[in-house]
Amino acid sequence: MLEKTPIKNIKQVIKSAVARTSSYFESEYKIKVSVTKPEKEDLDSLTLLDMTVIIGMGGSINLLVAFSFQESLLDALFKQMTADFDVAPDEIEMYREASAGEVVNTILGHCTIDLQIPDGPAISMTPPVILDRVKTIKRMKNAMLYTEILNTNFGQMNISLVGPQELFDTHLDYIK
Amino acid sequence: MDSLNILIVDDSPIITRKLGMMLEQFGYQIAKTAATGREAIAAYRVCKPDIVTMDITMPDMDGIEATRAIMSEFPDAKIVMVTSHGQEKMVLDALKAGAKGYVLKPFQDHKVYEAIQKACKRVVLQDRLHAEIAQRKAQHEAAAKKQAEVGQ
Repeated sequence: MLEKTPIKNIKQVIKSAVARTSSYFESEYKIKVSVTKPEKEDLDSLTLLDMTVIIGMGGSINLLVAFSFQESLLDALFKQMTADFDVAPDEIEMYREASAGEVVNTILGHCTIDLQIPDGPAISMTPPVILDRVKTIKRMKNAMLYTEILNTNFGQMNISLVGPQELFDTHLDYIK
Repeated sequence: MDSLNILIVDDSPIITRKLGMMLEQFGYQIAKTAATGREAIAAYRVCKPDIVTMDITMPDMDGIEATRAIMSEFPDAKIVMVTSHGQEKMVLDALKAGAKGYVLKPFQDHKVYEAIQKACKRVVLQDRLHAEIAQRKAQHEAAAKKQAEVGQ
């Protein structure tokens, strides 16, 4: 039987993810971030926004981390990340997805500094998987759903933790 | 201006493009790009670059495994990790695999330049670092302008 991810782990991961998101958005893109909803544990469902980036964190973490973006925030990130070069019309979708993926990859890569355990195994990360549609995930079995809602001057984003990893595929569907 | 041939390994097209632009401004040539560890090994065999910039998290085969594979086949290879992974264990694993340097994303031009110069065992004088980068960028811009004028 699968064990639930310890709440201590969840709180550490979410705290690090929020802090790293805030500092990265502020320093790189001059986007201010505020947490608009208090932490909630064991949600019955979570709803993903317009585009979601999912990365699996291994080692001692064993969680899928989903960053979900409102279109307007994603547009702002995309514009800044591609400001130095021309993007052809047929490349826009690819670079929008790549912008979202790179933002989340950078934030979680920095989180591994906060979350590493001395003498413990390295925290692995999977390549980002992109979901470009709104989706609701219901809690089933021993699943744990946890979300934090962040607000910026360009729109909303959610950071959600879903675990344990063994219950889900990379698109956050339950493995039967 | 001395030119190095560089292989960029990263699964993100946005990083490949931005890093490529930065390296060209330093006066380096982009020999090839690769999006996975396996592609990196194949690309290395074909273009034998002077330097490889290597991401860690990639589909197919990660950057540390690819570094190990390239180093075992080409012991003189010079590989610099350019990655968002900041944890100490990952840095140590990369260095043990044979990487000559480690740059954390989001990358800054002077950090990338310094890591590449050091991997090539070139002395980097800290107080001259930014001036050297500015000089290289100016030379690159002048060369590009001249080329555009010739083309007209």
